Amino acid sequence: MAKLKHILNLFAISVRLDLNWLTQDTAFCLITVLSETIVALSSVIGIFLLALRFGGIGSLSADEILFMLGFYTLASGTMSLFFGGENVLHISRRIGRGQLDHMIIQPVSLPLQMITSGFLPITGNSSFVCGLVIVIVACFRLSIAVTAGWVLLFLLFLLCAAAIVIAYSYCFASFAFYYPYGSEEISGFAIDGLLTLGSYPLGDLSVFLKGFLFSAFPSGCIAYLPALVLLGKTDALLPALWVLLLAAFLSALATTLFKKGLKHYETYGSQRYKPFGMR
Amino acid sequence: MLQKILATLKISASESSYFGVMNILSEYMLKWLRLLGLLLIWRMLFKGGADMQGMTLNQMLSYTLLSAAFAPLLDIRTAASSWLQDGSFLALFQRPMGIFTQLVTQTIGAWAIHLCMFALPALVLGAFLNIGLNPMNPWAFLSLLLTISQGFAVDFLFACLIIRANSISYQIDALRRALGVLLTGALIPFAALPFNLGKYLALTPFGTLAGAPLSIYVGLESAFPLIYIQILWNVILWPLALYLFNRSMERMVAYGG
Repeated sequence: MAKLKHILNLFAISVRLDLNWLTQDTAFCLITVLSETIVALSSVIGIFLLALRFGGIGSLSADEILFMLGFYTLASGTMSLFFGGENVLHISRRIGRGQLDHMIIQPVSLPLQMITSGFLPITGNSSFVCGLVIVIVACFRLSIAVTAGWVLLFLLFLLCAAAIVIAYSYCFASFAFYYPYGSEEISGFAIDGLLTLGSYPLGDLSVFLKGFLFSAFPSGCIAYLPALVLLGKTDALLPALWVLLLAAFLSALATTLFKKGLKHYETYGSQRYKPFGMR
Repeated sequence: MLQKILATLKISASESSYFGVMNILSEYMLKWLRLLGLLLIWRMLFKGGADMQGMTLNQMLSYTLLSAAFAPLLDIRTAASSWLQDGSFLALFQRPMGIFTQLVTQTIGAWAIHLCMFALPALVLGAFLNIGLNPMNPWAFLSLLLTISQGFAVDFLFACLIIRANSISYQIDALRRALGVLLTGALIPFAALPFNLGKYLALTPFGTLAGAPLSIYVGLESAFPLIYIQILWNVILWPLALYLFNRSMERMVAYGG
């Protein structure tokens, strides 16, 4: 109970810090939120316009594409909302800039800091809200039967999608312990790489390519596979199990690699310190 | 003057990324992913029997491939925005060369890396995938020159906007990056947009950047209405860019060196 209260207090600190920006410079904060909303929408509008123009892509209709894109936006929004702050998502920046020491000297464990310090409920909610609205609109247009089971499956897929991307980022970020200079931005590239193909419908690809995009480079598991299941286009059990297992596997791999990197960091530290990028 | 230009071109072309080779390779990996993703989407659309209304698969694939391969030429981004944000723009005033000349030369020099690491391999990939890349209309090359000229003017106008909107320069840049790809026709040919959106976008200064030369090249549009519109935008935007930049110089804020 005390631990839970501690965690909630840490979240509350993040909320207050985020709220500070809104109260101290409201205009600037709102412009930032608006611009990020437009950026979030523009990342998916190209695919949707194509789907509208041609009545769908592959086996998905235009409304089903809309649902998939909404799920994608919601998944990336969930990551930004909970881990967007303090470079928690792009952890390679903190490692590469020698700023991990800022976290290590805090009287809070590293995992707890990573879970709580990235929370941006005010300024980081653009993609989340956009994604939610798009999903709701798509559900109405498709007349999806939103049952309790469906919602639970939706939330499971959302959690797994976020876990896959974050774990992927942390796997690559571990390079930054050994090559801090060259790997400073590697998390960004890993995330952008996954998310680039994450919004594309993968319908008529070869088995080999699909296998690759559902495993070693799991962008198909972010939105396409969950959307297929939630839209009833395919059997639920196997894909759901696969996404869950993949998320668990990648999380375990990321934890192992990160811990190894930390051990290396304990011995060699970082010769590099850059004060910009703060935190 | 020529010596100064050549020296700047050489420095710019040989400048490596701040973060080293891995960063450059990762950047280009992302570009390859985007290109391959779009090529797959077009194939899927055609395979699915979508009504392409006269557009051929080869037109779409060559449009997409050329758009990615020659992206820096079709949607010009000078270093003005980032230099204004970090204050190193001031250094340009200390050099024995005009500001615009330096920015243009530096930008053209930086194309060398992209052309070697992406454009050339992309064209080879196109040949390997049997994508016909012969120009349908040679006027596309004139349109490209006009696009490059117009692109510089648009970028300088954005630099003026960033100077004036000092504290939201990052947001303006982010918006431009996000919307530019769609509005310039670099991502999707205007002919493939719904609700006749393409017809209206093609008349805008953004629309006549990437969309014009590419559409003429692959034969989606005829050359001369677009070229006339490009000439018109060049005539309007260049004097505006020069005038506004002159007016904005006094408002420039820079920190440190």
